[in-house]
Amino acid sequence: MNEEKQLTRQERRALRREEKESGRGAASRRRILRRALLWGGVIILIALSGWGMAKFVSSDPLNVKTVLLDAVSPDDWVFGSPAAKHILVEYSDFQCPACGLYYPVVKQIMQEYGGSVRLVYRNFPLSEIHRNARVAAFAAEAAGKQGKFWEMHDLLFERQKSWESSKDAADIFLGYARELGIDADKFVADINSTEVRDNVDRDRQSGLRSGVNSTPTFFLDGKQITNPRGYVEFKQLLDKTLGVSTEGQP
Amino acid sequence: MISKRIVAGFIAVGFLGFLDSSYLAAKYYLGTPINCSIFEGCNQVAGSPYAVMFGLPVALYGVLYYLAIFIATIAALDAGSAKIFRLVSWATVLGLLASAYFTYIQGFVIGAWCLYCLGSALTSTTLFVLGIFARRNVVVSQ
Repeated sequence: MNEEKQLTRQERRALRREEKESGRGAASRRRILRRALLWGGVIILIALSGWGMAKFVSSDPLNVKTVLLDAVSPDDWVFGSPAAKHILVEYSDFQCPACGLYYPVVKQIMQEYGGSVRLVYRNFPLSEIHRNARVAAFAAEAAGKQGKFWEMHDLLFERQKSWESSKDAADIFLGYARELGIDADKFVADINSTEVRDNVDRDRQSGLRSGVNSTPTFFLDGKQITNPRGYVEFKQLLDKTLGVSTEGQP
Repeated sequence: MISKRIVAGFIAVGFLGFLDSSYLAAKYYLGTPINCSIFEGCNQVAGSPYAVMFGLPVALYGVLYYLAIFIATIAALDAGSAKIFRLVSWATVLGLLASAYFTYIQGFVIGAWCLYCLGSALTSTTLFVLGIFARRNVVVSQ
């Protein structure tokens, strides 16, 4: 206490200033550290979540590959040579835009591989999101009862845009039936028959059993394949499968 | 002074919006959107011409928007600046308008609902409401 008294006023002021400054220095250093941690954390958080999201999306957990449980039966619509060894099963929805995009791809594939690959079409109408998908499936089945399944299948996909949002899709399909030279009365009766309904439901049930949750879903020789992005990828996939299996034969 | 709770709300909701829209953006660039799923009308919406603006997916604008909100709020907190925070709170009007427009497009033009897009509408509306409280709060405590 004595000592302190001995200090002049000026000295005391200088001392206080010094204390203040050194305190401020430590505080500002702490503050810089805190800010560095904060912004570093923010950057790491954003980078990690972006990376995680990219990984999550490309692994696509909804797209677990499954196997086809229901084998091809005489009830199925089969396109291609009976001698073909390989079978491509497609679960599809006539109103689904993606299925419409795949239609020309599959058609071209079948033109090229028709000798070694058979195409099986099974209905998987997503009636929850596509209002006319079910009636379109009925139309194809009804046309099939007069031997024109594939002709109606083609027309439905080619003209998808003109009926997808129509309130009278059944009338439009009747027009297609007439165009294909199908007996109109029988077509109308068939489209409303329980048999046709049951066929479509049976297809859809078999798809659900095999884990189909989106359309189109393809099974090549009983194994689900990742949807190829376009004709070239589809061709590569088939070449690989066909090549491997012929090599594997004794 | 800025209310801690509102700031925390901005950061949390902004980050949620960022995750949601980055999922959509990642899906746009990396996913296989060429699938019609039973679960969502997402592909119908995300695959529509309305999902792209000036050559970039709308989801990417969403990512930038939420990221800006997130970072600017942290910056306001860091600088203790009510001014920056006020700016952020006004920016939420943009998000609200964009969401209102895209929700209208989904419901009345495309006629399909995309769950993640609706999620984004929810987060941007929440941010807008938080923004109203934030401005009131800042005015009162000044």
